[in-house]
Amino acid sequence: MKAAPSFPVVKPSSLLPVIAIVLAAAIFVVDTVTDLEIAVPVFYTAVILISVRFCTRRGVIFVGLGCIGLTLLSDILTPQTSTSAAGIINTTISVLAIVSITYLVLKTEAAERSVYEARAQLAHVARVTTLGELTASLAHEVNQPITATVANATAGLRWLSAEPPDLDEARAAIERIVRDANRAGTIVGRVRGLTKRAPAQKVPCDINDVILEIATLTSSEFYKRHVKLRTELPRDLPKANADPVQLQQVVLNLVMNAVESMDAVPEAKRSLFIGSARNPAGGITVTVRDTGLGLKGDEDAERIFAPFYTTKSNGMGLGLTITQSIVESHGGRIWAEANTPKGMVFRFTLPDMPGTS
Amino acid sequence: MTIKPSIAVVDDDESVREATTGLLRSLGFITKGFASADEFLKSNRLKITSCVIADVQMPGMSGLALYGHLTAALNPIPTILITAYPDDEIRARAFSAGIRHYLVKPFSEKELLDSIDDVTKH
Repeated sequence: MKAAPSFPVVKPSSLLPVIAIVLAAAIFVVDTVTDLEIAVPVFYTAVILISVRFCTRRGVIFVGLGCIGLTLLSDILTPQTSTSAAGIINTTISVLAIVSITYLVLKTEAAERSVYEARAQLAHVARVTTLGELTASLAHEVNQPITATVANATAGLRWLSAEPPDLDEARAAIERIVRDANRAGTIVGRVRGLTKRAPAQKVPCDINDVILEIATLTSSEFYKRHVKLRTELPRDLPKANADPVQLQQVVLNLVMNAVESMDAVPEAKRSLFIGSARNPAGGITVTVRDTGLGLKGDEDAERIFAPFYTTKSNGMGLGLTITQSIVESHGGRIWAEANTPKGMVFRFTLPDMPGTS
Repeated sequence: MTIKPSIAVVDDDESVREATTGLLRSLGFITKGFASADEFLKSNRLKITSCVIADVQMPGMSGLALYGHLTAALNPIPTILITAYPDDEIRARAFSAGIRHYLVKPFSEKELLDSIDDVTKH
């Protein structure tokens, strides 16, 4: 995952600092030399807006302070207006404008940056949750000690059947096998640690909040891929006893699968529905419906939950398996059916809070 | 005393490198391992190397790129590529560059021997 770029995000042209300085100088000269009763220094706000493109946060604050300084200096150097009421008011207005713009501009940049970071986080979470890239690199890592072991074992056998047997080489080969097998064992342990979740920390959970959080997180994906989202999240939904982080993983997995399945469908026909409802039998039901490719000819709606089953060229086939295991460990059920005319419908249930009817 | 031709094993993974050189030794070959393509090119063993066995995916120069360097010479050292990630595109590029053997890990001793036989007898 790439680190978030340091502020600013856009690389500036080296012309901008020059423009800013020239503009500031021009405003200062006009302000000092003329005795116009207008708040010329308000134009320093333009200098601040330009400086945002090439300065750090601290830099922008310095530019702001600098402009205030120039305003006051200019005021002192213009004795005619410095003591008049209009002059004082103009100076005050200008300083307030500069302070306001500096503050607003810094706030906007901070907001843009946090959006960028949230998107990078989402990409990371999506990858790790569906174990795509991670599993591929783990498979590679396990393959290396296996390859080495095949070679070491073959070599060891050959050394033992040599005339005379080379015991030192054979021993060294076997020691390498032990070392490599242990290394492979560590890697497998790491995989197990990832797919087994930490014990669920169940709390009363509003599934609608979870769905809305995921919808917000993935909103840029919907925008990029032209997916229309519709939700139906009734307000009086009972709470479920669940681990919100694990529920987020479930919803994220289903939403990302749906979105990706619609890549091959014309843009106008991409539509995702997420709904929650009270289950008449108790608990709640969540529905995720897409208009993607749906089940292939011989696929059945149960096989897609099997481990390592995937239709993606770079998928590892564990996303739905993990999702199913989370839902079931919460006492719920998950199943899939075909959507008409095309696409998939995934539904999962979660039981009521214990103690409710 | 003439120096016997040696097989170079180029792989950044220590386990695979040591195991492969060990296997070649048990088969009676002279062999030396290198942790990177760079290390091999900078060593002064190119003239006495009869065959290169190189991993495709390595940090820095890949096995395929290494062969690209070797082809600059009059008689490029025959190269066998080994990989944990079989990739049709890379296999095609290797073949068009003149590499006839693209082994997928874990490879058997027979595959390795057959490839070495094939490249050193021509």
